Amino acid sequence: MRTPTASYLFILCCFFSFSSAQEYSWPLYPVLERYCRGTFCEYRSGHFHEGIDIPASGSFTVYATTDTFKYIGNSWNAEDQYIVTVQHYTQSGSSQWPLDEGSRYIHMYNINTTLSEGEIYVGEPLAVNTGFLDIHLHFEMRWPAPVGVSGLENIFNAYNPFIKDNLCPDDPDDDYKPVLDYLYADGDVDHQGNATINSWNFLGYDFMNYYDSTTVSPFIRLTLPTESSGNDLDDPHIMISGNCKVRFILKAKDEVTSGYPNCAPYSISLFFADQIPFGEDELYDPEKTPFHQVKFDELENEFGQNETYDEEDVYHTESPLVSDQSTFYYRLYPHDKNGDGYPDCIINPSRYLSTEGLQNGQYPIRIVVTDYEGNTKTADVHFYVRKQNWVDYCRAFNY
Amino acid sequence: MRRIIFAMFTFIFCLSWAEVKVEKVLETTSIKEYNQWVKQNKVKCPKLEPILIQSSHEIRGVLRQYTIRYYNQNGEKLKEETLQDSLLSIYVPFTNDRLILRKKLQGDANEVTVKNAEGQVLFKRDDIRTHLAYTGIGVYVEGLSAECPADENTVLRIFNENGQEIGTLRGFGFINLLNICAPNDRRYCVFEGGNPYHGIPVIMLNRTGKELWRYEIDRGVISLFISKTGLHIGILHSNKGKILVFDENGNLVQEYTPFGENWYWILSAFSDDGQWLVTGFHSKVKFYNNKTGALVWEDTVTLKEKADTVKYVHSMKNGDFIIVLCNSHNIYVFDTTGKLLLVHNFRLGKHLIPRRIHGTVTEFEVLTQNWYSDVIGEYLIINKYSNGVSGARTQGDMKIIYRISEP
Repeated sequence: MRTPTASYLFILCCFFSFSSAQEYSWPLYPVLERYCRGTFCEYRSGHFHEGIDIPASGSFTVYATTDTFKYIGNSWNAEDQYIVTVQHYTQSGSSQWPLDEGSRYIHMYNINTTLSEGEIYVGEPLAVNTGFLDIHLHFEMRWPAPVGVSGLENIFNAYNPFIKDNLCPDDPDDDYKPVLDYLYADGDVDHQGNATINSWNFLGYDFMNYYDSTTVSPFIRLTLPTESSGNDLDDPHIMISGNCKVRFILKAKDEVTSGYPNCAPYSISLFFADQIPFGEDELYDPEKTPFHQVKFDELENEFGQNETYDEEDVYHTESPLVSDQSTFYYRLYPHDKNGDGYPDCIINPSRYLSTEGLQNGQYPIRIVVTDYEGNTKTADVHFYVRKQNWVDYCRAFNY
Repeated sequence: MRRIIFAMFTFIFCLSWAEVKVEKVLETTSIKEYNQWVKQNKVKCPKLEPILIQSSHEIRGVLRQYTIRYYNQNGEKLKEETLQDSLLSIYVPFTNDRLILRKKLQGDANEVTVKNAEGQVLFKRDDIRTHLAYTGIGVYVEGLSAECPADENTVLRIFNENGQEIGTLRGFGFINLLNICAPNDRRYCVFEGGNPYHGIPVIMLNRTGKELWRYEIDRGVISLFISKTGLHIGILHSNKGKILVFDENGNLVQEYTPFGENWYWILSAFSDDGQWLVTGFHSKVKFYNNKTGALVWEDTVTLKEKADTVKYVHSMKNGDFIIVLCNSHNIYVFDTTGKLLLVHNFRLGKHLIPRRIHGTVTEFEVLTQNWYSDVIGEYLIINKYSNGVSGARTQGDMKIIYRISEP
């Protein structure tokens, strides 16, 4: 990751100073409900979703999210329909200044043909009474702006529109908690050293060896219980025998409404052992920093902005954990950036947890998934490390 | 009866100035009427093309309903198909001689079916990654969604008329179908590559799908235009206010910055043989000789006096008439020396635009801008269309046709 230069930092400061004063509006009018059916950074068949999908069944007028904008241009292809790009401006009185950011609006069947490329407009619609392909507007914000007003011409620095005031979803119906479906433990012998992984299924959880016809890698899949936080006795357990490195992968999703496909959640946090806060109210105790967190605010860009992560944080490489718009898998550990041949397994400040470094016993983890509305779902899982040929059941029960 | 009315109308509207005669020869919303007019005039003007396919869509919730109508050269409707599917999209290329249907399948795959102007299936593939664009020269190029960032390793497959893979292209995500051109004889096509990772590629392909040359330009809106003979290719680079003129082999032969180096959306057109270039921006018009790069004439007064702004420019009769169409619906006709020959308003009417400022929406009346223009032979064809659907996708709902000639 590159270190930001002084000029970059200056631009960054300008950006945030402008953006803090800038008003942003919901791009669809009329505003029926402010929610999305596709979130920023969902993994979609080879790329991250670089915007949000706003449901739009019927006919709407589309406005730029800033009142004042420069109309950069439009393109059209058979899949996306019209794609309109604007650069954001800020305005005070009659003075207008360009911001180093812009936005794109995709899937419109019609556009406003009174707009001329390169002209600055105030309040003009980008499309009037338009329908949308697949009944949604894809809206994305980009910084630097999609054109080279400052010489910074990389349009692929997308960031999450939800971090702007007035662009957060405001859906009173979204009181659904995110859903935690499964925890997968990767039992590939090439990954786990000399250990084996088994369920310790004394409470009868759905815990199965999961194979796919197209892959030889066995995954052990644990169905996460609907309730677990604060109640250790009903938590599922995983048995790890021997010295190993284990990959844990989570399948989770956000339910916005019952009428639309699921979204990716906003953040996923993993707490390990004594980092786990007790009780629902302490999930965000600053003293209890998560071991690992994926928070979908920005894609990594050359300026090294915060909350960057890698594509591999969303696990997608092979079946059965192929992700698409309705299925979301996440690594619960940073992926192997160094490419040292190991899948850099779980939970250790030095990038992975090797059970070689753990004593026999039980180690709890807590998974916390949050959506954009702050709805939270947690699950606790206990894994048990055994290095001898016998199992210390009692220690587990007495933990 | 129609012919009588038509004759009377023509008689009423026939502007004849000393050096130019402008007749409105047709105004119609009827495909039958248009195709019959084309048939009557095709001998004199072979490049006129009838409308053979027209598709419209209607969205009902998640369901999309497409109505496709097939016509013959006489404008008689041959058949009508109605397709209803939430996963279907339909596209009629600018050649208007085929229909491309794309249906999303499970997973990443898409099924694409190409039909001819009679509705017969030309080929079908079920392994297209997102969609298929027709280049107008018997070659199709696969495309990805604009939501999918392309990089230098992105590979798009090229297919022939039978749907067989014949090559690949790299470094961009799709063809921007608003910027695709082919000369009259369709020996090549040139297009803008959409969603590129680096600079925007302008690429020329021949009829075998071979990439002949590529020119990568800095980001900033571009527009492409070519001479009818295909000997000259123009790129407007609005970010720098530049017009780049290439020969067919991809050699840069002229570079103009007619209105200064700034962000300008410039309109330009070549004469048929490419020797002359007319360009307009705001209320200015300039005329260049492409052989020498010399400015032949400029007019910065005429449009300004009427507070007009340029929407389209054309060259007619190989540069003898310069036609400038404005947002005000005015048509200006200049000669090769820059002398104004005629001004006429074609009156397309007004519509309401809802502006939103600080969350408050107020409607304003503006002159309708849902139109584009073509020059074919001695005819200026103004296509009015509904709902902001531009010329890349429609033949227009209404056509106004003028014949511009010497008296």
